Parts: sequence; structure tokens; C-alpha cells
Amino acid sequence: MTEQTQSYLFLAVLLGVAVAFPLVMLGLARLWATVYSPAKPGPAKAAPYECGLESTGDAWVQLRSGYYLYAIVFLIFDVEALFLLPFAVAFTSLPVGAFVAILVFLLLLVEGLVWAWQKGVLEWN
Amino acid sequence: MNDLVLMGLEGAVLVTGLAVLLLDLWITPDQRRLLGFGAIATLGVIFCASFAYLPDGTQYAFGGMYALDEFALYFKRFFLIAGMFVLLLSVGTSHAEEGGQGEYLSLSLFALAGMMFCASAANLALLFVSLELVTVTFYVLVGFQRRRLASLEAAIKYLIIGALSSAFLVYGIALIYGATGTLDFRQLASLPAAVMESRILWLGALFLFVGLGFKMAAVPFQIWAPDVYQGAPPSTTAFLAVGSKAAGFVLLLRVLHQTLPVLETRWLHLLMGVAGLSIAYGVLCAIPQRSLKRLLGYSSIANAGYLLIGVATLSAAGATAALYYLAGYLYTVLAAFIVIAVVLQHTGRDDFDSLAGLHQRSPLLAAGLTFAMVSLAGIPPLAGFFGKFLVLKAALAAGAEHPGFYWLLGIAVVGVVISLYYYFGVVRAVYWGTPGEQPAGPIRVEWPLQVALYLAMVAILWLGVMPNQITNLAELAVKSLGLR
Amino acid sequence: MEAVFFYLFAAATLLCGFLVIANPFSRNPVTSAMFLVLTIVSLAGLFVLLHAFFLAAVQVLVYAGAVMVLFLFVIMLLDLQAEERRSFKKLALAGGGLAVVVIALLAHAAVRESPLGTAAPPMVEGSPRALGKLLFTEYLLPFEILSVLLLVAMVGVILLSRKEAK
Repeated sequence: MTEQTQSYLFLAVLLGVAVAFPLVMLGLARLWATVYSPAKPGPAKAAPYECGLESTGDAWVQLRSGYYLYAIVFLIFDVEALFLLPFAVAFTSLPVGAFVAILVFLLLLVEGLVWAWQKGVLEWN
Repeated sequence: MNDLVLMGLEGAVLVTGLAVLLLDLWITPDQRRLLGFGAIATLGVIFCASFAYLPDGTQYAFGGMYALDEFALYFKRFFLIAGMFVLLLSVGTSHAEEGGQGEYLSLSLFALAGMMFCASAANLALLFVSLELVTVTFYVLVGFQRRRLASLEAAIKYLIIGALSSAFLVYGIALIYGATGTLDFRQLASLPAAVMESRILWLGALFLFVGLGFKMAAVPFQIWAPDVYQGAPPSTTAFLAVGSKAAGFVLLLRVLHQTLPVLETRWLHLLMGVAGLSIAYGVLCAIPQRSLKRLLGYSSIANAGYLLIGVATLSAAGATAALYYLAGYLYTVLAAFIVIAVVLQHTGRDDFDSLAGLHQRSPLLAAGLTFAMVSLAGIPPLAGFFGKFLVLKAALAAGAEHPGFYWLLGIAVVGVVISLYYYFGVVRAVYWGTPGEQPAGPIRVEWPLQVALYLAMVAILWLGVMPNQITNLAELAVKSLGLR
Repeated sequence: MEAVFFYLFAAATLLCGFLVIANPFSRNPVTSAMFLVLTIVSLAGLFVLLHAFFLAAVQVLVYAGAVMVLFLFVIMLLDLQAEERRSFKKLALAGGGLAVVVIALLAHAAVRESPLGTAAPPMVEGSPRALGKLLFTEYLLPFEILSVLLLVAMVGVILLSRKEAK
């Protein structure tokens, strides 16, 4: 057995445990419920608990579109961070041009950040 | 260092775009116009600098990824001219009320840089990335007037179909890589014949063609064109019509002749079919149109067909004709969209009724639109005529080998005749249309637009009367592509 | 062993991908989004089989993580009821089906004529180190254009979705 398949084996065991563990727990809970607390549903029991208040309206609320902008700016910087990792790992074997390239890459994104900042995108109101 | 010098033109455009984006943050709205003129002047300088590049043969940079030859230079100049006109148009019509002009300028510059990279792409990775730069920028440019529902609708349509075509493009590239193990154009060209016969490679190339066909707005990848042309701001539409289309053609020609010559024979019927269908579809659908922008959308599809005839001949004459045709089309479309932009600003509409009485309200606009329409219709002595003449001549010569070209020739000629009807419908609306209840005061055209319109008209006439200078350049470009 | 995993992941990808667009049990977009997460994770599994470990990690981090957050945001910004009531258009279904059939026929014809795996497969090692070296030497120019692309994406998205300041 090669080293590679062994590492796969580890993954497979991990996967098996990860699947089995919650299944066992859920199964035990189910067993407990059927033995000790059989279901007796009623309108009062089925109502959502809202600190004693009557619940009103839908559980779906529209988010403010402001969150969306943050999410998307985060996404772009997330993608940027991705490129930094292979650069950092390969750093020692790269020519000087690569260093300049990543510098330009970072500067461009900083320019984007400066632009967004100046446009007032980062202000929460 | 030498690499950077070779891609100096694109680099300069990119730096200009970045500078405009930053400078726009700290200037007053009055200075915005100056910023625009500064950007245009910089593009002018870059255009002049392009003549300092005298490649003897093809020069490669970045490990063969980037090719600089006469062919690339021809298209770079083409894109630069288009970019200058588009910036002039956007400064003149000023989208300032729609979120800021500085961003519009810099995004246009980034799209321009992407097109110029397309002209030099000698690697499928660079091809994809630069094409994406163009496409993604256009998603934003199309939806730039986000207060207008039509603009947003156009952006959504362009986004969805563009994403689909990008998926085909990248899948095609993956298949080509899977079949050959390389992305480099020169390595692809020197593959052994056995690998060239791989059907996987052909399938990949076919998907690549889907992606390029979307850019060219050729049938059956044309479905977005009319809606997007109609909804987008006029300067964006003009850029889309000339720049984006030409980006598709520059890549098609390079892939066809320099990268995978095996496709030349394989794709003959495909190209001929797509050309014929594009002409037929564009011409027939343009007949009932009442909106000028929509009409030009369908006309753009038909023109993609004429250009594809030139490409399909697989001859130097055909490619030269296509290159000349593109140059003529550039000025013609720009002239038309300058007029449309001004009319839109004054009437808020672009249908034929809003054109009525235009010759009284502004003789210059009327003359400009007439020039554009007559040139599009292919009437001598304007640029559009000579372009169609060259394309049809090349098709006639190719007909000796492949009789299918006679059919294509027939479709093209019938298409020209039908197109006379709707192009002259526009001219008739301008000079003999009965104005409705709309105010018929004179239209004042801002001086940047006047300059742009005069230049475009002169260029249309000059290209038509003295075609030799451009055809010589085009021949030089085609020769560097290795076509005889 | 690898073949088994390949078929496992491929089947999971296809099944989950199908459930994203046409789930017979739920028309709720959030369910679709969750199946998209599963699709992406199975794709990451395929990448691992191809020794593209970095890409697999990226796939999970960016797509299953960040992009998914964005999707859920958009779902919550929209009116869900309209989507649940929306019916499929017959013509669109037929067109899509036709496209799938044509592409499948093309792919089948291509693979039958020149079977896969005959040409030497390009050997690329997918470790971050190898990827970094390749990205910053051979593919330096596309990388730089990519940075401009990211900038354009950022500026464009903010322009299009920002509320007017004044």
C-alpha cells in the first residue's frame, strides 16, 4: 500500500466517522423520543415560540442591500488572497519580475479599495 | 524589459485607465470634461506611438504568449481609434447624472486594453483572459444607466448570454488543451498531423468558435444583439458594435490561419453557412424595425455575415477585404451613433418618428446620419461600398474552387438590395418624415460631438475615395498572418 | 480505487447539479443553493483525484464559501414566492433539451472517433508551489490582466448596486 492510498484511507475513515457520529446520536434521540415522549401535537405546541408574544408576519425578511456590497467586496478580496498563497509558497524560486507583478496586483486592488472608500461605499448609514 | 516595451501600447492604455479612475475622485465636476479630453489626447499619443513599432516579422513577448506583428498593430490602431471616438461621444453626451463619468471613461479604457490584448493574444490563456476583460467590462458599460429599465434589461441579457458563451469558450479551451497538451499558438500550429486529426480538438475548436461567434454577433449566437444594442447607452452600443465585434474577428483570423490551420478546410462550410445565415437573418429582421438602435443591431448581425464571407474565402484577398470592411464599418457606425446619441438626448426616443424633420433641426446631424446610412447600404463612393465590393470580389474569386460561394454571393447581393429599403427608410424619415407633436426647435450639437461627426464623415468619404492607403495597411497585416 | 472515487464524485456532481435546477421535492431557492454547495464539493473531490489539491481547496473556500454567501444574500433580497410559483415554459424546456442532445451527440461523435486518453496527458502537478511557479513565470501576463479584471469587477459591481449617494 503506497503512502498516497494510505492518506486516502485516513480520509475515508474520517468520512465514515463523520457520517456515523451524527446518525448514531440522532438515532438515539429518536429512540428516546418514541419510548419516553410520544408526539402529541396541538395548535399551542406547534406555534413558534416568540418569548410569549403572538408571532406575526413571515419568517423571511428582506435583507438590506447594503450587506450585499460588503459580501461582494469581501469576495473580491477573497479571490485576491487566493493568488497570494501560491506566490508565497513559491516565493524563493521566483524571479524578481514575479515580485513586481504581485506588487502591481496588490496596488491595483488597493486602488480599487481607495476608490470604494472615496465613493463612500464603506460607510454604513 | 523588452517584453514590457512590446506591450507598451496596452500598458499605456491601462495606466491611463487607472489614472482616470483615481483622478476622478479628487476633481470637481467641472473638471471632468477636462479629464475626458486628457484621456482622449493620451489615446491620440498612444495611437501615434503605435507607428514607432516596426516589427520585422513577428515578435513575441512573455514566453511566446504575446505576439506583436503588423496584423496585431492594425487592430490595435483600429481599437484605439474606436476608443477615442467612444470617449469623445461619452464626454459629449455626458452620463454624468448616471453615477459619474470618470468611471465610464476608465471602464471604456479597460475594455479598450482588453481588445488590444486580444489583437496580440498568442496563447489560449491570454485569449480567454483578455476576452473576459472585454466582456466583463461591457456587462457594466451596458448597464451603466441603471436608472433606465431598458439599460438594466440589456445588461442582464448580455450578462446571461455572455456567461454562457464564456462557458463554451473555456470548455473549448479545456478540450483543446486536453487533446494537445498545450495552450500556445505556435506549439499548436506545429503539432503532428495525427494530433491535428483528433476529433476532441475539433470539438474544442468548435466551442471556441461559439465563444467568438457571440462576440461577433453572428447567427446563431446573435440573439442578444438587438436588445442589448437598444438598451445600452449609445456610446456603449457604438463600442460594442465596432470594438467587441472586431475583437471576435481578430481572434477568429488568428486562430484560423496561424494556430490551427487544419481548421481552414474543416471550417469552410461552417463559416460559409454562418455567413449566409447571418446576412439573411440580419437583413430580414431589420425590415420591420422602427427603432434606429434596434435596426443597427440587426444590421450589425448582417455585417458580421459580410465580414465572415471575407474570412470564409480563406484567401489573403478575403482577409484584406474583411479588415478594410471593419475600418469602414467603424466610422460608419460611429457616425450613426453620434447622431443617435444627440437625438436620444433631445427627444428621449430613437424611433423613426423622432427623426422626422431632423434636417431642419440640425442639418449636420441629418447629413451625418445620411452619410452613415448610405455607407451602410453600400452606395459608392463611400466606405461601405468599397468594403462590400472587396468582400464580394474575394468571394467571386473563391467561387472558382468552391461553387458554394456563388450561392453566398447571391445571398449577399440580395441582402444588399433588401437593406437599401430600410437604410433609405431612415434617410426618408430624416428628410421627408412628418414631424408629430414634438417640439421642432433646432438641436444644438456640442462641439466635441461636432468634431467627432465631421471626422467620421470625412473618414467615410476618404476611405471610399482613397481606399488604397487602408488596403495597403490591411494587406501588410494579412501578410504577417502568413496568408497568401 | 481512483476510478471508483471518480464515478462516485462524478455521479454526485451530476445528481446534485440536476437537483439545483429541477428539484422535484422543493421549489425553494435556498434548497437549490444548498445542492449547489454539494455540487461544488463533489467537483472539489474530482479536482483532488486529478492531484489539483490547491484548486480543490480554492473550490471549497471561494465557491462553497464566499460565492454561496453571495447567492444566499441575493435570494434573501428577492421575492421568493414569485420564484416558487414560476412555471417552466414548454418551449424553453424543449430548446434546452434539444441543445443538450446536440452537444451530447457532438461530444459522443468526437470521443468515438478519437478516444480519450490516446494522446499523452499533460502532466501538471497541482501543488500550490508548482502552481505559483507556473502562474508567476509562464502565465505572468494573464495574471496581470486578471488583476485588472478583478478591479473592473469591483468597480462595476459597486457602480451597479450602490444606492445613489445624494
